Amino acid sequence: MMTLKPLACALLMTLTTMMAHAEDPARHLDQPGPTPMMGPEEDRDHSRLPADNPLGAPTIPHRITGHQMDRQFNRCLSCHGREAPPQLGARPMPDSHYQDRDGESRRQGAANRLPCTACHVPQMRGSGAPLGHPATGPREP
Amino acid sequence: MRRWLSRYWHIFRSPSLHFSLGFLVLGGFISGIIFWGGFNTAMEYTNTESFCISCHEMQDNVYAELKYTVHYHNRSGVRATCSDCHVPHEWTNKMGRKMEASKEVWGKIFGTINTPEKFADKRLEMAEREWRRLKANDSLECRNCHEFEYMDFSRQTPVAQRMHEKAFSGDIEATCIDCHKGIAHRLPDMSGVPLWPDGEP
Repeated sequence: MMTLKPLACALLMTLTTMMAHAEDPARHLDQPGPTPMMGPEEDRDHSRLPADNPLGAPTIPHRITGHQMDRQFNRCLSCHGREAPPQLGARPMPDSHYQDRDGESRRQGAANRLPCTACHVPQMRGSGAPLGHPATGPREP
Repeated sequence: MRRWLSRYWHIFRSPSLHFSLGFLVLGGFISGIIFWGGFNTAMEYTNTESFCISCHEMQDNVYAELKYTVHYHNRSGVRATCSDCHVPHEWTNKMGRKMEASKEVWGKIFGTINTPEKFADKRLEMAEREWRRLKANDSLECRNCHEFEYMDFSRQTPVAQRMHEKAFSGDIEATCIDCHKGIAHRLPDMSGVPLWPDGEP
Protein backbone atom coordinates (compact mmCIF):
# COMPACT_ATOMS: atom_id res chain seq x y z
CA MET A 1 0.00 0.00 0.00
CA MET A 2 2.91 2.31 0.81
CA THR A 3 4.42 1.84 -2.65
CA LEU A 4 1.24 2.95 -4.40
CA LYS A 5 1.10 6.30 -2.62
CA PRO A 6 3.82 8.18 -4.62
CA LEU A 7 2.45 6.71 -7.80
CA ALA A 8 -1.04 8.02 -7.05
CA CYS A 9 0.47 11.39 -6.13
CA ALA A 10 2.33 11.61 -9.42
CA LEU A 11 -0.83 10.67 -11.33
CA LEU A 12 -2.84 13.31 -9.54
CA MET A 13 -0.23 15.98 -10.23
CA THR A 14 -0.08 15.08 -13.90
CA LEU A 15 -3.84 15.24 -14.18
CA THR A 16 -4.10 18.61 -12.47
CA THR A 17 -1.32 20.05 -14.67
CA MET A 18 -3.06 18.80 -17.79
CA MET A 19 -6.40 20.25 -16.68
CA ALA A 20 -4.81 23.57 -15.74
CA HIS A 21 -3.21 23.76 -19.17
CA ALA A 22 -6.39 22.83 -20.98
CA GLU A 23 -8.30 25.57 -19.21
CA ASP A 24 -5.76 28.34 -19.68
CA PRO A 25 -6.87 30.34 -22.74
CA ALA A 26 -3.85 32.65 -22.63
CA ARG A 27 -1.57 29.69 -23.29
CA HIS A 28 -2.58 29.70 -26.95
CA LEU A 29 -1.26 33.22 -27.37
CA ASP A 30 2.26 31.84 -27.03
CA GLN A 31 1.73 29.45 -29.92
CA PRO A 32 2.17 30.58 -33.49
CA GLY A 33 -1.15 30.70 -35.28
CA PRO A 34 -1.84 29.22 -38.68
CA THR A 35 0.22 30.87 -41.41
CA PRO A 36 -1.94 33.26 -43.42
CA MET A 37 -2.24 32.48 -47.09
CA MET A 38 -0.45 34.85 -49.41
CA GLY A 39 -2.76 35.70 -52.26
CA PRO A 40 -1.95 34.49 -55.74
CA GLU A 41 -0.18 37.14 -57.68
CA GLU A 42 -2.59 37.14 -60.56
CA ASP A 43 -4.62 40.30 -60.87
CA ARG A 44 -8.14 38.86 -60.82
CA ASP A 45 -9.78 42.26 -61.07
CA HIS A 46 -9.40 41.89 -64.80
CA SER A 47 -10.78 38.92 -66.65
CA ARG A 48 -8.23 36.59 -68.16
CA LEU A 49 -10.38 36.35 -71.25
CA PRO A 50 -10.84 39.98 -72.26
CA ALA A 51 -14.55 40.38 -72.94
CA ASP A 52 -14.03 43.78 -74.51
CA ASN A 53 -11.52 42.38 -76.98
CA PRO A 54 -12.66 39.22 -78.78
CA LEU A 55 -9.24 38.79 -80.36
CA GLY A 56 -7.38 39.20 -77.09
CA ALA A 57 -5.36 36.24 -75.94
CA PRO A 58 -5.92 35.09 -72.35
CA THR A 59 -3.37 36.49 -69.91
CA ILE A 60 -0.86 34.36 -68.04
CA PRO A 61 -1.87 34.00 -64.38
CA HIS A 62 1.63 33.39 -63.00
CA ARG A 63 5.23 34.56 -63.12
CA ILE A 64 7.20 33.52 -66.19
CA THR A 65 10.49 35.18 -65.28
CA GLY A 66 13.38 33.20 -66.67
CA HIS A 67 11.22 30.67 -68.48
CA GLN A 68 13.06 29.20 -71.43
CA MET A 69 11.26 29.59 -74.74
CA ASP A 70 13.42 28.77 -77.73
CA ARG A 71 13.91 26.27 -80.53
CA GLN A 72 15.26 23.64 -78.16
CA PHE A 73 12.80 23.89 -75.30
CA ASN A 74 9.59 25.71 -74.42
CA ARG A 75 8.91 25.72 -70.71
CA CYS A 76 5.27 26.75 -71.21
CA LEU A 77 4.57 23.41 -72.88
CA SER A 78 5.94 21.37 -69.99
CA CYS A 79 2.64 22.24 -68.23
CA HIS A 80 0.39 23.43 -71.08
CA GLY A 81 1.45 20.84 -73.67
CA ARG A 82 -0.45 17.69 -74.58
CA GLU A 83 2.00 15.44 -72.79
CA ALA A 84 1.76 17.33 -69.49
CA PRO A 85 0.05 15.54 -66.61
CA PRO A 86 -3.59 16.73 -66.45
CA GLN A 87 -3.43 16.82 -62.63
CA LEU A 88 -1.37 19.99 -62.87
CA GLY A 89 -4.55 21.83 -63.72
CA ALA A 90 -2.93 23.92 -66.42
CA ARG A 91 -5.17 24.95 -69.28
CA PRO A 92 -3.98 22.86 -72.25
CA MET A 93 -2.91 24.58 -75.43
CA PRO A 94 -5.83 24.35 -77.92
CA ASP A 95 -5.64 22.20 -81.04
CA SER A 96 -5.44 25.27 -83.26
CA HIS A 97 -1.99 26.00 -81.82
CA TYR A 98 -0.70 22.62 -83.01
CA GLN A 99 -1.66 23.24 -86.63
CA ASP A 100 0.92 24.81 -88.86
CA ARG A 101 0.04 27.10 -91.77
CA ASP A 102 -0.72 24.08 -94.00
CA GLY A 103 -3.19 22.64 -91.49
CA GLU A 104 -0.82 19.83 -90.53
CA SER A 105 -0.83 18.89 -86.83
CA ARG A 106 2.59 19.17 -85.23
CA ARG A 107 3.38 17.15 -82.12
CA GLN A 108 5.49 19.91 -80.55
CA GLY A 109 3.10 22.68 -81.57
CA ALA A 110 3.17 24.81 -84.70
CA ALA A 111 6.41 26.69 -85.29
CA ASN A 112 4.62 30.00 -85.77
CA ARG A 113 3.03 29.60 -82.33
CA LEU A 114 6.33 29.02 -80.58
CA PRO A 115 6.80 32.45 -78.98
CA CYS A 116 3.85 32.25 -76.56
CA THR A 117 4.59 35.71 -75.16
CA ALA A 118 4.01 37.30 -78.54
CA CYS A 119 0.29 37.14 -77.67
CA HIS A 120 0.00 35.96 -74.05
CA VAL A 121 1.32 38.21 -71.31
CA PRO A 122 1.25 37.93 -67.52
CA GLN A 123 -1.25 40.21 -65.80
CA MET A 124 0.16 40.57 -62.33
CA ARG A 125 -1.10 42.60 -59.43
CA GLY A 126 0.65 45.92 -59.19
CA SER A 127 1.78 45.96 -62.79
CA GLY A 128 -0.25 49.10 -63.48
CA ALA A 129 -2.85 49.45 -66.19
CA PRO A 130 -4.12 46.22 -67.75
CA LEU A 131 -2.00 45.17 -70.67
CA GLY A 132 -3.57 45.01 -74.08
CA HIS A 133 -3.27 42.54 -76.86
CA PRO A 134 -0.06 43.31 -78.76
CA ALA A 135 -1.79 43.02 -82.12
CA THR A 136 -4.78 45.26 -81.31
CA GLY A 137 -3.25 47.78 -78.97
CA PRO A 138 -4.09 48.70 -75.38
CA ARG A 139 -7.55 48.05 -74.09
CA GLU A 140 -9.90 50.88 -73.13
CA PRO A 141 -9.80 51.57 -69.39
CA MET B 1 64.00 -5.16 -59.01
CA ARG B 2 63.63 -7.34 -55.90
CA ARG B 3 67.11 -6.45 -54.69
CA TRP B 4 66.40 -2.79 -55.28
CA LEU B 5 63.18 -3.05 -53.31
CA SER B 6 64.74 -4.99 -50.43
CA ARG B 7 67.53 -2.40 -50.16
CA TYR B 8 64.98 0.40 -49.72
CA TRP B 9 62.95 -1.74 -47.34
CA HIS B 10 66.12 -2.22 -45.25
CA ILE B 11 66.77 1.56 -45.12
CA PHE B 12 63.12 2.18 -44.31
CA ARG B 13 63.20 -0.27 -41.40
CA SER B 14 66.52 0.69 -39.79
CA PRO B 15 66.61 3.40 -37.11
CA SER B 16 67.74 6.90 -37.95
CA LEU B 17 71.50 7.50 -37.48
CA HIS B 18 71.78 11.29 -37.82
CA PHE B 19 68.45 12.82 -36.88
CA SER B 20 67.06 12.95 -33.36
CA LEU B 21 63.71 11.44 -32.57
CA GLY B 22 62.39 14.90 -31.64
CA PHE B 23 63.42 16.32 -35.01
CA LEU B 24 61.74 13.50 -36.88
CA VAL B 25 58.54 13.76 -34.85
CA LEU B 26 58.30 17.54 -35.06
CA GLY B 27 59.41 17.60 -38.69
CA GLY B 28 56.83 14.99 -39.56
CA PHE B 29 54.15 16.95 -37.75
CA ILE B 30 54.97 20.26 -39.43
CA SER B 31 55.37 18.83 -42.91
CA GLY B 32 52.10 16.97 -42.33
CA ILE B 33 50.34 20.27 -41.65
CA ILE B 34 51.93 21.88 -44.68
CA PHE B 35 51.04 18.97 -46.94
CA TRP B 36 47.46 18.65 -45.69
CA GLY B 37 46.83 22.39 -45.65
CA GLY B 38 48.34 22.76 -49.10
CA PHE B 39 46.29 19.86 -50.43
CA ASN B 40 43.04 21.28 -49.14
CA THR B 41 43.91 24.81 -50.29
CA ALA B 42 44.60 23.50 -53.79
CA MET B 43 41.36 21.52 -53.64
CA GLU B 44 39.46 24.63 -52.58
CA TYR B 45 41.03 26.59 -55.41
CA THR B 46 39.60 24.14 -57.93
CA ASN B 47 36.20 24.81 -56.33
CA THR B 48 36.24 28.53 -57.05
CA GLU B 49 34.17 30.06 -59.79
CA SER B 50 37.20 31.83 -61.28
CA PHE B 51 38.85 28.43 -61.73
CA CYS B 52 35.76 26.93 -63.39
CA ILE B 53 35.33 29.76 -65.86
CA SER B 54 39.02 29.91 -66.71
CA CYS B 55 37.92 27.49 -69.46
CA HIS B 56 36.09 29.32 -72.23
CA GLU B 57 33.83 26.27 -72.56
CA MET B 58 32.39 27.08 -69.15
CA GLN B 59 32.56 30.86 -69.39
CA ASP B 60 30.84 31.20 -72.76
CA ASN B 61 28.16 28.56 -72.33
CA VAL B 62 26.95 27.53 -68.92
CA TYR B 63 28.25 30.54 -66.97
CA ALA B 64 26.76 32.97 -69.45
CA GLU B 65 23.39 31.26 -69.02
CA LEU B 66 23.63 31.14 -65.24
CA LYS B 67 23.93 34.94 -65.15
CA TYR B 68 20.28 35.30 -66.15
CA THR B 69 18.93 32.98 -63.46
CA VAL B 70 17.87 33.56 -59.88
CA HIS B 71 20.83 31.49 -58.70
CA TYR B 72 23.19 34.21 -59.95
CA HIS B 73 21.44 37.47 -59.19
CA ASN B 74 18.36 38.18 -57.14
CA ARG B 75 16.96 40.79 -54.78
CA SER B 76 18.73 39.50 -51.65
CA GLY B 77 22.17 38.95 -53.15
CA VAL B 78 22.61 35.37 -51.99
CA ARG B 79 23.98 33.32 -54.82
CA ALA B 80 25.27 29.91 -55.75
CA THR B 81 28.59 29.35 -57.49
CA CYS B 82 29.41 26.39 -59.74
CA SER B 83 30.74 24.15 -56.98
CA ASP B 84 27.74 24.74 -54.71
CA CYS B 85 25.64 22.63 -57.06
CA HIS B 86 28.17 20.54 -58.95
CA VAL B 87 30.59 19.40 -56.22
CA PRO B 88 29.46 17.50 -53.11
CA HIS B 89 30.33 19.29 -49.89
CA GLU B 90 31.21 16.17 -47.96
CA TRP B 91 34.92 15.29 -48.14
CA THR B 92 34.91 11.70 -49.46
CA ASN B 93 32.23 12.42 -52.07
CA LYS B 94 34.11 15.57 -53.04
CA MET B 95 37.27 13.57 -53.67
CA GLY B 96 35.29 11.12 -55.79
CA ARG B 97 33.87 13.96 -57.85
CA LYS B 98 37.31 15.54 -58.25
CA MET B 99 38.67 12.25 -59.59
CA GLU B 100 35.78 12.03 -62.05
CA ALA B 101 36.58 15.57 -63.10
CA SER B 102 39.95 14.44 -64.46
CA LYS B 103 37.97 13.33 -67.52
CA GLU B 104 36.94 16.96 -67.97
CA VAL B 105 40.63 17.91 -68.16
CA TRP B 106 40.94 15.33 -70.95
CA GLY B 107 37.97 16.92 -72.70
CA LYS B 108 39.55 20.35 -72.36
CA ILE B 109 42.90 19.20 -73.83
CA PHE B 110 41.31 17.47 -76.80
CA GLY B 111 38.65 20.13 -77.37
CA THR B 112 35.60 17.91 -76.97
CA ILE B 113 33.24 20.87 -76.61
CA ASN B 114 35.40 23.77 -77.75
CA THR B 115 32.87 25.19 -80.23
CA PRO B 116 29.24 26.19 -79.62
CA GLU B 117 28.13 23.51 -82.10
CA LYS B 118 30.06 20.74 -80.36
CA PHE B 119 28.72 21.97 -77.04
CA ALA B 120 25.13 21.92 -78.28
CA ASP B 121 25.59 18.40 -79.63
CA LYS B 122 26.94 17.09 -76.35
CA ARG B 123 24.74 19.12 -74.05
CA LEU B 124 22.02 16.51 -73.55
CA GLU B 125 24.58 13.81 -72.75
CA MET B 126 26.33 16.02 -70.20
CA ALA B 127 23.06 17.22 -68.71
CA GLU B 128 21.76 13.68 -68.38
CA ARG B 129 24.89 12.68 -66.51
CA GLU B 130 24.31 15.53 -64.05
CA TRP B 131 20.60 14.70 -63.66
CA ARG B 132 21.53 11.07 -62.96
CA ARG B 133 24.03 12.15 -60.34
CA LEU B 134 21.52 14.40 -58.57
CA LYS B 135 18.81 11.76 -58.79
CA ALA B 136 21.17 9.18 -57.22
CA ASN B 137 22.13 11.38 -54.26
CA ASP B 138 18.55 12.65 -53.72
CA SER B 139 19.44 16.17 -54.92
CA LEU B 140 21.93 16.57 -52.09
CA GLU B 141 23.44 19.76 -53.48
CA CYS B 142 20.01 21.42 -53.75
CA ARG B 143 19.24 20.42 -50.19
CA ASN B 144 22.40 22.03 -48.86
CA CYS B 145 20.41 25.29 -49.15
CA HIS B 146 16.77 24.32 -49.82
CA GLU B 147 14.96 22.37 -47.11
CA PHE B 148 11.32 21.30 -47.09
CA GLU B 149 11.15 21.97 -43.33
CA TYR B 150 11.66 25.70 -43.86
CA MET B 151 9.61 26.18 -47.01
CA ASP B 152 6.56 28.38 -46.63
CA PHE B 153 4.22 26.43 -48.87
CA SER B 154 1.60 29.18 -48.58
CA ARG B 155 3.89 31.53 -50.50
CA GLN B 156 4.20 29.11 -53.40
CA THR B 157 1.97 28.80 -56.41
CA PRO B 158 -0.93 26.33 -56.02
CA VAL B 159 0.78 23.74 -58.23
CA ALA B 160 4.07 24.05 -56.36
CA GLN B 161 2.22 23.78 -53.04
CA ARG B 162 0.52 20.56 -54.07
CA MET B 163 3.66 18.98 -55.51
CA HIS B 164 5.91 19.94 -52.60
CA GLU B 165 3.39 18.71 -50.04
CA LYS B 166 3.15 15.37 -51.83
CA ALA B 167 6.91 15.02 -52.10
CA PHE B 168 7.43 16.09 -48.47
CA SER B 169 4.87 13.65 -47.11
CA GLY B 170 6.22 10.85 -49.27
CA ASP B 171 3.09 10.43 -51.40
CA ILE B 172 5.24 10.57 -54.51
CA GLU B 173 8.77 9.31 -54.89
CA ALA B 174 10.45 12.41 -56.21
CA THR B 175 13.56 14.45 -55.75
CA CYS B 176 14.21 18.08 -56.66
CA ILE B 177 15.80 17.42 -60.03
CA ASP B 178 12.79 15.38 -61.23
CA CYS B 179 10.86 18.62 -61.79
CA HIS B 180 13.50 21.35 -61.55
CA LYS B 181 15.60 20.62 -64.60
CA GLY B 182 17.05 23.64 -66.36
CA ILE B 183 16.77 26.08 -63.46
CA ALA B 184 20.36 27.30 -63.75
CA HIS B 185 21.22 26.55 -67.38
CA ARG B 186 19.27 26.32 -70.60
CA LEU B 187 17.79 23.01 -71.67
CA PRO B 188 18.49 21.11 -74.89
CA ASP B 189 15.76 19.44 -76.97
CA MET B 190 13.92 17.54 -74.23
CA SER B 191 11.84 15.17 -76.34
CA GLY B 192 12.00 11.78 -74.68
CA VAL B 193 13.20 13.17 -71.35
CA PRO B 194 10.61 12.95 -68.56
CA LEU B 195 9.80 16.42 -67.21
CA TRP B 196 7.78 15.19 -64.23
CA PRO B 197 8.39 12.38 -61.73
CA ASP B 198 6.91 8.94 -62.35
CA GLY B 199 3.36 8.40 -61.14
CA GLU B 200 0.77 10.99 -60.35
CA PRO B 201 2.30 14.42 -59.92
